[in-house]
Amino acid sequence: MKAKALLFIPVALAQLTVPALMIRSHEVVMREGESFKFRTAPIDPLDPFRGEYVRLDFAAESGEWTYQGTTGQEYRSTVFGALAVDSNGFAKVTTLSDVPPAGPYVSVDLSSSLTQGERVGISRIALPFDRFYLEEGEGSRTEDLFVARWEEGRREEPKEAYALVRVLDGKAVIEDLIVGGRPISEWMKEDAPPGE
Amino acid sequence: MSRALLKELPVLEREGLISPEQAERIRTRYADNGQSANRMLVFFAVLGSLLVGLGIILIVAHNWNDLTRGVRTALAIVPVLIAQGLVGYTLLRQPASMAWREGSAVLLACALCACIALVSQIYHISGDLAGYLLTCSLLMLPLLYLLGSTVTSLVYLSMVTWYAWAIRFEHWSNPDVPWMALLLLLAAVPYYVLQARERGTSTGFWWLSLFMALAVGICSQFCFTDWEVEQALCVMGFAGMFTLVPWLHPGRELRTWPWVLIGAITTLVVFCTFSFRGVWEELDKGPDHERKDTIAILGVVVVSCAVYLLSLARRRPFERWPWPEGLGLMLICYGLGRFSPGIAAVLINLALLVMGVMNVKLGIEQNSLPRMNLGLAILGLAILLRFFDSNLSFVVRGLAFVAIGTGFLFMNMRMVRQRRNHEG
Repeated sequence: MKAKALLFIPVALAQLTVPALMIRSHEVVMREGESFKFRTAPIDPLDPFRGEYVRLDFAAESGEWTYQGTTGQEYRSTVFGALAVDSNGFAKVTTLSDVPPAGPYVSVDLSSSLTQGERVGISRIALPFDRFYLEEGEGSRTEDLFVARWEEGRREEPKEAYALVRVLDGKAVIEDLIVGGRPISEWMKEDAPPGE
Repeated sequence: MSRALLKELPVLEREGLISPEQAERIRTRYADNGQSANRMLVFFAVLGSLLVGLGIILIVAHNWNDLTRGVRTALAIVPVLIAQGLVGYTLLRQPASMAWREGSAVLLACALCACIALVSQIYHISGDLAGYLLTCSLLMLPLLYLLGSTVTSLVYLSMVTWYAWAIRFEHWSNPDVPWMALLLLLAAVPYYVLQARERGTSTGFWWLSLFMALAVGICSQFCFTDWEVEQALCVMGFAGMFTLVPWLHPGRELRTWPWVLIGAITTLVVFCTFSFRGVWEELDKGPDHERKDTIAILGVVVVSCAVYLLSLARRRPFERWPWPEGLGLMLICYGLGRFSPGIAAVLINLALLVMGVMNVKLGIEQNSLPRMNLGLAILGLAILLRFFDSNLSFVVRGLAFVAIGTGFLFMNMRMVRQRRNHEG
């Protein structure tokens, strides 16, 4: 058993290394990454182990891109998407390529293709971040913020939301979810759901 | 009470009140009680650790927004460190205690799962369920070998099976094959063999055999993509090999019965499915029909035939049960079914009837109620299934139900009476 106890030392270190590496790689991006705003709308599923989260559906995931090598049957093949900021200050993916571009970029999955005549392009991509974890019970309240409601006979439009994302060397980490100009945690601290 | 009695035994022996043989018999009698107390201790150690571990996972799932990122990260690591400390203590100070080994291993497994979940939560990591299950399984694997924990191995096998399912079905249009799950199962095989050697007759090994059989059976099927009629040959191949497992250890009593159980149930389900003529008619899809799994299915069939032939050195055909011969019949029917689906269906139905009669006969001969009832259930099922593809009136169907039910009651009453007469 002494031998087993000695063997357990590297095992224990390996068990600690996995979460430590996860923490370190994400901390570096959080501290040194460039900040981008991704316009989004969430829906609230539940993970059996990791708790409640909102799945984010980003506006930057839809568009028209051409990508060399696309056969019209691409699925989940990963490429590099170059990032830029549009006139409203939100992030957009400008080009897709096999090699990392010069500026900021993220790795994206090709979700579906578009064929127009002889032109074959990509109509939908999947960004490498799509979850924002919340405290228990906040999922549906967060989703409520994104639903149009009627207030005294007047339609109140859903609040604009974006995810604040840090990007460094192709790796991206969501820093916060901003709804109507305020972090989601501030909305949740209020007793009643906003707008009621 | 028994402890006090055992302490008194040398005194009673010295005073000549009991003989040394009697003292030994009393010791043997109360040794069982000691074992059952030990089993209770293991049970409560595992239950306690599981509850604490699952509690940690649930507390983690709440996601405490008010705590800073640093505090939450520390909270993710602390349970792992505590559980690792307990495992270290077990290995150094309590290596012989099963309660400590099981309890500390389960606690560390839960703490590791909670830690990875919490880190994913803190940094909003998108990773899908399959990736999470794979990471946890890999981190858990060494605990099987270092602590020999049965409960952790059951959790490990369940997670690997769940991982294989997630890879196959999490993305519907994703053609991924869970090869990694097969490697993870392969990594658990030496542990299984080790347990068979050390604790092959224990209840824990029975459960390990059950989970192993289920994991191997399910994960292997997730590696195929077509899932057409031919897949049944592959399923029968695995079922046949499973039912031959007891012949791997001749002369040595090991609790490998779950392999036979899973193999037999699978054979019955396949036979019931293929007792319908319509299923055989699906075989002919024309020469242009593309099949991706042909080579893999052929490989499994060849291997299972080879295993069957090798088993003939230790087992006569149809010895103890007819399940291993199921693949042979299925292959014959597959050949016939391409030309005449009707004949193939009739053969399978006959096989079900023969299996039913054989089990009833063996049940009566061996005075075994479960075996006799299994035979009756197979017979009843074979008859009832025929109602789904026949146009018999409700009256005839009703009469058949009554006849089968009466048969069950009559046979059971007959055997119970036979037993009473025997005892009398």
